[in-house]
Amino acid sequence: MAIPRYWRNTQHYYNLIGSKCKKCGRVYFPQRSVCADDDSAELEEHPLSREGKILTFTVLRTSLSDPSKENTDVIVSEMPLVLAIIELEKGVNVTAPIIECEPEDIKIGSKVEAVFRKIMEKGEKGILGYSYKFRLMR
Amino acid sequence: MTNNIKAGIVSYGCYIPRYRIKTEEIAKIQGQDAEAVKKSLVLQEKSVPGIDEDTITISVEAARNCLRKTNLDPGRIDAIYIGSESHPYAVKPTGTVVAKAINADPRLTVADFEFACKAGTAAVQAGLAMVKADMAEYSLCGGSDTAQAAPGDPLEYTAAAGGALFLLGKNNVIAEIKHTCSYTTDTPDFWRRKHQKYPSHGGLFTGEPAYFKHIVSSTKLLLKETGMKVSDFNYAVFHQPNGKFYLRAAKLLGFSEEQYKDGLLCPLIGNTYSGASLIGLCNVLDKAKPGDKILLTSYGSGAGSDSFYLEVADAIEELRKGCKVPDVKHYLENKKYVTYSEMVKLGRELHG
Amino acid sequence: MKKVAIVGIGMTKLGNLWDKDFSQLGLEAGSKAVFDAGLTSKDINSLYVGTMSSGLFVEQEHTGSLFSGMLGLNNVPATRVEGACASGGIAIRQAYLDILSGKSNVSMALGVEKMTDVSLSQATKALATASSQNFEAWFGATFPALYAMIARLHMHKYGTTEEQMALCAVKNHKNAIHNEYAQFRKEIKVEDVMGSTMVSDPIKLLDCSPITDGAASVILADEESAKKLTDTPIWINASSQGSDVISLHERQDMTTLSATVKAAKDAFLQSKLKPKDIKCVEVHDCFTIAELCALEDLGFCKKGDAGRFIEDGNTHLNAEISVNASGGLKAKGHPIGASGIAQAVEAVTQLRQEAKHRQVDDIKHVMTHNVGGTGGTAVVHIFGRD
Repeated sequence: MAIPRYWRNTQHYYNLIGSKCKKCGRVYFPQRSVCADDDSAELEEHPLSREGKILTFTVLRTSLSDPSKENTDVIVSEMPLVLAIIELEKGVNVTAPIIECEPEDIKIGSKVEAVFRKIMEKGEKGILGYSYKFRLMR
Repeated sequence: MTNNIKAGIVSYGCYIPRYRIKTEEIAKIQGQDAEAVKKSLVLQEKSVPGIDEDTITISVEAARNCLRKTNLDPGRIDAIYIGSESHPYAVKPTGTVVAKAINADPRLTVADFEFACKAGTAAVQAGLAMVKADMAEYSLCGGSDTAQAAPGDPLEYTAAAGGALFLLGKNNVIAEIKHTCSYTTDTPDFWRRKHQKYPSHGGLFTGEPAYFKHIVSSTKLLLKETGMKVSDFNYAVFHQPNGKFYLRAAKLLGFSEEQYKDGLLCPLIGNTYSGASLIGLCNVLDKAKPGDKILLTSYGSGAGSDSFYLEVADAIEELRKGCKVPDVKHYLENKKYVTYSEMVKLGRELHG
Repeated sequence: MKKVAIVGIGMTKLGNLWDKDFSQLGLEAGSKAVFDAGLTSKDINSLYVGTMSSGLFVEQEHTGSLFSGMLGLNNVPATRVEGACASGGIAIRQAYLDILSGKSNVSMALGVEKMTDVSLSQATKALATASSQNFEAWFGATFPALYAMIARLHMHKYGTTEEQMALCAVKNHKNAIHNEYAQFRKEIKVEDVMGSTMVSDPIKLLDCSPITDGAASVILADEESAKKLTDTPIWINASSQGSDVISLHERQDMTTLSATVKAAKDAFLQSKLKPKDIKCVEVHDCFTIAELCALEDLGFCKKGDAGRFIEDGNTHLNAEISVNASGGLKAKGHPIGASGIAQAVEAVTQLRQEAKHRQVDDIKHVMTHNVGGTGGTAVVHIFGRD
């Protein structure tokens, strides 16, 4: 991911901050400047819940690493990677890894909480990227 | 040296990664007698960071735990100082990411600290000075590390990961920092040269002229400057490169088991470097009562020690009330053992 | 309403075509289509090129110009369209609209993708650009992973089984044996699918369409030109397209592709046909679960019933409805931008009664269904003999 693009998104990746339409109350993540429902441009920052539940998931067993080093973005994750779609608030879902779990412990409906982890290394010399990931609630 | 302005810890938070490796598992690989190693180091296991954990993520988790205990608007934090010898970037401060991740107001100052295992306490001294000098209403400071050790090095048994951060200020103080002093010399006991992946050390030389001399000198200096006696303290915490050094230092200074036991976590989590004495302090604060007096002396190779005299205040009861933030005990209990090969995998030696 | 017909088709063999360059693939398919139509390249009034990611796969953009030049077109408008894996379907639709508008009498749609010039990880990365880069791909979501999450939810909600999904792959491989253009012409069993490498649980290697090189082209003409050119024009009875949010996690119901539902509804309305009138359909089976969702979303069975519908044998060649008689993306191959056009080539072949051993008996109409991403785009066409 290009550095400016990562930088512009840190509010999302670090803090899960979305936006909420002042008119209809619809919440968006990532943030938007115009509401798709009523075309209102009056939206305010809205920090999302950091806890949610798993709607669906998969266990990725193919390696994401690139032995040829042709891709400079290395996705930093445990293998196998458990990836899930998580509902944080009614109608606001995110796709993210579930870490520190045994794949067999994950169920549709499992409760999870957000943690702060490294997700990208731009090669050996480039910047490091951090973001939300989730783990099962203890 | 310190002035009479009252300031201290307003809140604190720590973070220890979930993975642990047992001393036996490393001894098997190093071809040593596990029981002998466990006895000589006073060590059962150590923490291992996840593949996606580093000093930045550990600091962010500790900072969030620290702030979740209070209702403080992060915009009121004027300084963030984080000490580590494993800052993920050689150039670009760890504190900048922490500041963004806690939603701090950009109108603040940030700097990273490095002084081997005492970088965290050096950061706390600087943060305290900012508060006392009215240059900061609140400062957030402490230390985190993901310590490295070369395969086969005795350091492999102890080099661990963890961190602790403290919110310092003048109001709602839960533990007043009544005094702090340092003792610093030029002693090359442990170092890492530029561009080197793993640190090097002087073996036996790290003991007597290094760790013990500095811990004892700094602690004695604090006692002299404050007029306190060893028996005046309810708790004593020292840097803990392994369990044995800690116990010997405590005994050399004349502290009893009752005083030093709660500050010693190394046998269960290893040496978390810049986090080591500070996580020990967190464990003491989790248990201390108003009026309790705490002594802390850190040690950083190269070499130096920082000593602190803290007195627990009534506000600690308020901070604990209904607190759902994970304490040290939570992190000690929430663990998953890994094998040596899994540790190598988490260290990304097997990954792109 | 003006009528538009397909008067020429052409495609390359699909597969790992090591000795063929991107431009050669397009030239081969395009010139075959021109020849099949009985035209010369100078008779083409416009060109629409469908390619998903020529920039990432072969570092070549500006493909309208590239193929206009390769094919020797007469300086006519040549436009590239892109809608991820639905790029080919969109190219046909744009050619169709061009003729309906009266600007062109004869228009070419050409789909090309050359995927094997890059490493597998680069190909995976290029394909992942069809999902949200910032909020899906960045977290490690590959296309198998996204479709696996659809599959998991489908299994959870409707009791669909991995074996039912595997049956799609088995059937499509069986059909492809009779398709000389297909990448895989080899029968497989359910056990082979179930025992193949786990890619992204529950999706296994043999649930996935392959990495494919290839090109396909169709030539469209207005009614007057079509009738002059051929005795068997294949008419476009409907051409429709729908869209949806790009990220799977933004959908209300993640097992329904609303873009497909919308496109199908429009297509049935335009053609005045009903699902029961369609006896042959080429659906976008990039993964086996996608074939299940397609059957439901296109209206051939009830939501949630596709697993049982397939298990009961309804989708075999000449059964209730022949689904992917060509072998589908799974076995025929999935050269991304060309796939939507290769589906139309199959539809025309079937309606001309030229499909030999895979010929669906007694058909009047064939539907094609082409999806981009996880359902951000869907294109549906209905072709007919009248």
